[in-house]
Amino acid sequence: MMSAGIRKLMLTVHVASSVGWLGAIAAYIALNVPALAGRDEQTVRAAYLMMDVVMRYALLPLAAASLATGIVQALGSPWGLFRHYWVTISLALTTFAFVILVLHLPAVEDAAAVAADPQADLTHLGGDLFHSVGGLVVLLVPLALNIYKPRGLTRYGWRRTQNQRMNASST
Amino acid sequence: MSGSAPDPMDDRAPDGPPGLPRWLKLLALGALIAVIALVAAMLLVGGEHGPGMHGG
Repeated sequence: MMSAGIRKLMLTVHVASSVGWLGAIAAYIALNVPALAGRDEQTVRAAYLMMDVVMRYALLPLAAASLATGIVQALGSPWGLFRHYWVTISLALTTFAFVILVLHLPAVEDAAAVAADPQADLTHLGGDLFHSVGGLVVLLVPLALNIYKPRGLTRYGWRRTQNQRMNASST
Repeated sequence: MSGSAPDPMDDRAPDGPPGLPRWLKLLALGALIAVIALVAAMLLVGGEHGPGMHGG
């Protein structure tokens, strides 16, 4: 278990990176507006180029920090990673979102490479609202779970609790 | 993932192994409906859903 001071520090980093991740998604979604509806070609190209920048330097680092600090925070506190459903579901959804983000990076790089070519036709790119809005919706679930912390022990958490009670009653 | 909650050990463990909580069943149902809607939407638009449709 972590000390209370370290735990609060980790919680601060975790909340900051998680909220930052959501903010970066909002910026990414905003870039889809000119990418999808922009009439000025230079603006559309710039939007695709900036989507790549936001992906590399905001989304990926913040997502990695959120996932890593979340795992450390859970393991270093009485909540654990697999004792309570809300923690396990949060871990699963955050990991899923991070993996999709990493797997999606080459597609965003390709779109930026097309946009960087002044001769290239951009009409087939079609923006990237599916992943960005989908990612936002997926990440709102762990956000709500982290705030509400609904009850519910997993089978593993229940066994641990039973063992702790048996140990406590036998001493 | 976890915050400064009141008491993580407060879950009153029942005598037998616990079943799935109601909120988790509702969440799973919502996720299932969302996946079905997404698959249907992707089939309608031909599975294209990203920049360059994953093809560059």
